[in-house]
Amino acid sequence: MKSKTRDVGDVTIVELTGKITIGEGEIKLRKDIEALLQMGKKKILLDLGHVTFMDSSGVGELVGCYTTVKNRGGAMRLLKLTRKIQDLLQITELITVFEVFDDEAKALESFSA
Amino acid sequence: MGRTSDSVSLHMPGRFENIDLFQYLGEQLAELCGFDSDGSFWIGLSIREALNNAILHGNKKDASKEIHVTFTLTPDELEIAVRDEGFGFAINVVPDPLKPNNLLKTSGRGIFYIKNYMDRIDLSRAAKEGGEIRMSKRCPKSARPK
Repeated sequence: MKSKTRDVGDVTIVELTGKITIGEGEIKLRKDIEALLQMGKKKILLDLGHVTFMDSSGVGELVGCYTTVKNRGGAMRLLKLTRKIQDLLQITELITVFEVFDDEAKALESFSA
Repeated sequence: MGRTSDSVSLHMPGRFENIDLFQYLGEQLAELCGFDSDGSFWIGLSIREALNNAILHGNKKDASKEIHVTFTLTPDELEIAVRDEGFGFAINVVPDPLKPNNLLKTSGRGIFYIKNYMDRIDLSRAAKEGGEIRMSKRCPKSARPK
């Protein structure tokens, strides 16, 4: 898994590419989010539009990152879920936990609400 | 004489980086059975989750222990058996990830995903042979192999 970050105002967009599975990507995601929190960046938008595959460990890591950010007084939201990732979250009712957006502008706006 | 079943058995060292190949094989077999891309995805994911569990919980991440995978294709269904060389694990101790207390846990969804898609899932444990997950899905009627 690769990640690329960019800031838009006080929101950090993390664009993920590749797979987030056990032994590949899940640890990197956790480390990337931790690094952002240590830099004081607490508004995080994960762009999953180029994530090609995720298993239950990847889903677990999304949950872990969400909880970590929330516990540090921040917010993490998801952008551009593919249909399959949406299915993975829907089936485990996590779609009710995350705030999910298809449009970046609307996602960014939500952090100001 | 009608076709009964075809099986292929493979084994791999119990390391996570070996999972991709088995997922790919499962997806290809699924396509051969007539599953569409969604079906192949879910079969591939189920295989991956079973292998994750076998490596993590069955073999306790001991890479010297192997994982054995058997794909069996009958005229009606695709069956996949994943056996570890450890002790397996009991399906009844896997917590329900939909319960409110478990919703935000970072693990415990693998078996749930398998159960969600596969028609049948059986777990067994044997002291000497290790633990085994056996799961199957009926092939789409329109493309059952003859």
